Amino acid sequence: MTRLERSLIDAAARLVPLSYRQTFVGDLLEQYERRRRSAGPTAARIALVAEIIHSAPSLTRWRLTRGVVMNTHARSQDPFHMGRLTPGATAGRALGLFKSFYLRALAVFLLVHFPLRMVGHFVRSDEAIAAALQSVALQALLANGLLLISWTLVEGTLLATLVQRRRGHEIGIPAALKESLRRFPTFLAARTLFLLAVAAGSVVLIVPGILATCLLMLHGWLIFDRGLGALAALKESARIVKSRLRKTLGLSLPVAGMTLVWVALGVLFVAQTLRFTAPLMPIFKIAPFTMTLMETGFVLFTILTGILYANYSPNGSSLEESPV
Amino acid sequence: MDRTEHRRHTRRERLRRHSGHSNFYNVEYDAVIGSFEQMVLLAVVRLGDRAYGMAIREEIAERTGRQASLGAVYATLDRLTAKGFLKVGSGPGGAIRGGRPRRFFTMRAPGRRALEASLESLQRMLSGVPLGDLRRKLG
Repeated sequence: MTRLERSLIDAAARLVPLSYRQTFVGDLLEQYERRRRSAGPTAARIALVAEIIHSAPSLTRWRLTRGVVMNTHARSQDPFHMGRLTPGATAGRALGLFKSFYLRALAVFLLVHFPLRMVGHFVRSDEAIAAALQSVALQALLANGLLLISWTLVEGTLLATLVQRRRGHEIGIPAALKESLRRFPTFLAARTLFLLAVAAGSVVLIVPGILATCLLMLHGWLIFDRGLGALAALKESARIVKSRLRKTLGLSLPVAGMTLVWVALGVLFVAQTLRFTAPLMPIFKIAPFTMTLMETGFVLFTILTGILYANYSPNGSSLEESPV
Repeated sequence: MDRTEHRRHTRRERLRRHSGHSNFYNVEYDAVIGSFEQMVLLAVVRLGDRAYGMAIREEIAERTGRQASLGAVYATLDRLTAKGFLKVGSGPGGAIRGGRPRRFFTMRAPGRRALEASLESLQRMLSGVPLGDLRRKLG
């Protein structure tokens, strides 16, 4: 596709209300690609230009009756979109969303994460399993694998809910869980690659780990909002954040701090709870529950990535930064 | 506000809320649909769970010969959604669309009712009109 065609698509897309923009561009690209395969690139190019010219009057009318208002309206309805991104305002918005979302997040954690965490904890601490596996490393790998699966499922469920909330819809936990399961393989692959990149960066020095986290942290939103594959989502995340790396670091620091405070409070809570309950009941029965409370702090960070995603590419549109 | 008026008001409010729009379009006219809207609704019914913008446009072109633009189809779909006739869902995009999602449309009960009412009124207008062959063709 030449630069002219990209510019044409970009121009046409700007006439489409934000909530329809990605779908409209997707349809144009699909039509172009199909025509290119069946009749060659020249015919595809002519059809694309004809389609855009043919669509222009309808799009302008649509924009005038709805789009001009809708543009602002869609943004004002999007709880993640902010007028001006400053570290303080970002932290405040993240905290506000966290408060309004916390009970839902806790329910998801208790329904999805808690059972798998219990199993993981059991696998890690049970002597019979250790004897059967005959390897401490294998036992730890199994327990951590369960945690990773659980965490990915939970975050997928939360992301599916938040993506719909950005679009002005509310979905229940079962529907969100179903969506999370549908995208599970992709998200798990992306999450594993993300963790490997962050771990590799952190082993070398702390700074490359932080940079890798910043660059790749939008991958979940890209998978759930735009339906990208694992590698494509990581690459797109890096592309979006790359030009705003310093700004992203600045914006993330207060939220990272709040997350750490929450987790620290959680650790204190766990320690206190265990002090009183450990003599009364086995630790593995109570620890996953208290740790679940602690881990909800990481939801704050998911919300931060949502705020950055919404403001770096409103309504998931990459057209704001570059042509298609 | 009497009971009937209240019921009508709450139904309209429910439709407005369900569509996720504020009142961009005049939802008062929710029962009135134009000929192109009729075509789009019929295409959505025909396509079932595969009804997205481009497929709807192709279905209309294939069955009626009318080459509607993608922009016109999307503007109509948006209007019908705002009226509460269609439900929107999203599906995976795939590489052919550069990862951009598809937006699938399915018919809601008010849409079905409006379409039936519109086709019935067309039938009633046709009955008794001496159009000969044309009327027989339109059936």
